[in-house]
Amino acid sequence: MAASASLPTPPGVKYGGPTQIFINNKFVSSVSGKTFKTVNPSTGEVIAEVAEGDKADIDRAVAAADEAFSKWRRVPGENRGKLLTRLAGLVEENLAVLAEAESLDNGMQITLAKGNVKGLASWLRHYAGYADKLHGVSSPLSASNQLMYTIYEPLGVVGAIVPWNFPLSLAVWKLAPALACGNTIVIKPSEKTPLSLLRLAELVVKAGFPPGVVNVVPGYGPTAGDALARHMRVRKITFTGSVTSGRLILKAAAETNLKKVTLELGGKSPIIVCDDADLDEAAFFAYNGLFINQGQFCAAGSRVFVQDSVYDQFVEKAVELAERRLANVGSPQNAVSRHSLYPSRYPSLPLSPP
Amino acid sequence: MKSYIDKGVQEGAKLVFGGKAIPRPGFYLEPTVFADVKDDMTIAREEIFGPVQSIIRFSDLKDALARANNTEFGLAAGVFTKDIGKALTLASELEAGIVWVNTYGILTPQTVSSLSHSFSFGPDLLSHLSPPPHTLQCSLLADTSRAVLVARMARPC
Repeated sequence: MAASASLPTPPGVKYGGPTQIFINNKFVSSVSGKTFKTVNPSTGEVIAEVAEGDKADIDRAVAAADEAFSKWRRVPGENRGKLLTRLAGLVEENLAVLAEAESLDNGMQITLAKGNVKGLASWLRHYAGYADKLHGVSSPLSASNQLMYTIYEPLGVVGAIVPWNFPLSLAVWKLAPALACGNTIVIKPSEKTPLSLLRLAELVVKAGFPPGVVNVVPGYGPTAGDALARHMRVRKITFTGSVTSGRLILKAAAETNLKKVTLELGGKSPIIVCDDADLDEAAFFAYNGLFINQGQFCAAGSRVFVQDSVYDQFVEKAVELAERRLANVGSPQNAVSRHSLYPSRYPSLPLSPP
Repeated sequence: MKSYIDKGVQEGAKLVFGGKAIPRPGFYLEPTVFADVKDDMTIAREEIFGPVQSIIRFSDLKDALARANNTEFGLAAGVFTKDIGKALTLASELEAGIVWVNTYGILTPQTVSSLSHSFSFGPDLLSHLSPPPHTLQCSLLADTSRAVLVARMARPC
């Protein structure tokens, strides 16, 4: 059996996953009725037409999240944790469809996509465990008739803008802790990779999350992303992506309600290989740490410092590994291929993750 | 992407593998390896976000550390050595949100890293339970089958 035959959508069959905006646990068209095409970068073919959210849709999603927050914040931590745990189980059960969406849309090797999806269940369970352990401290004051204590309160609606390189992982890293703490969330995936998050949204309903707790609005950075970053009811915005977009988001927050901002931007991460290192091991990890997902990895080890006396040997090993990778070039949906698309297909737009 | 590879060649790096588009449908580029890369070259300074590896030479470890830290980004770092003294020193001196020793790229919920040191902003949702905001939490993670080192530290920001 060909490796790709195990995918839920066989070649030639129309993509069957959700393609609309997810608000209040329902998939809906965009207010404008507009759609955009999402393309399989390994073939250049259109996978699906996706509803294009802009400011009007962000407004609807934030209103839904805001309304849901008033009740969600009162849901006991134990129950929030239970829902996240249930979502983790559903992610595992639906590994194949989630990984397929990720691989088709992003060009990620299917084996890497499956590994990542499997990992998501761990992240969800990890944060599920925090949900009932968010406690503050008490402090003895000088006056004997005074009581002082602190509590952790959720912020409210959290906005999340997620890039295309690891769409599901980065969304879950933002979603899981936000929900565990009692916040609600509006996520804008990259316009290049909306499909896997819409699959996850299906599971959010199945898990039993109340409507409005999780919302997903596919769209472009300058429209949907900007509206989310500027929304007065969004209390925090979290973004992973390019430095250029990060600056715009910080500025948008500063110019509106000074919402809290979390940015995880570019990298040029060094790897230092000393002359006493196990060279095979070092070369392998340096190779994998750079070429994983074709170098489209924020923490990619893109500067490898190698000590003089082992330098030539290391370069030889690096070339061997690259050669082997090239020998396995192929469709990302084929489990044996190791090397696939490269990102020149993806020019960065302002406020659009790289 | 291609312009980075051209710049690498123009600025004097040695293209030892790849560099060309792969002739097949879709958008493919050969895994590309540059040797003799110098710190001031474009490919050593800017984030390429593609399959381009830059291998840089060093002789003195202290010098390598300073050069590794000489970047506006400070996201992650890796160290390969069998010497635990070097591992500990480099791990604490490298300005990165996470330092991997004798491994690279492991990110699990338990690694407790915000994956950010500089060129990022604010505490990550990931570390919402992290120490007070005036500290910066860094994670050191090592594969103990290769080196015995698991440590964590917080340093003033």
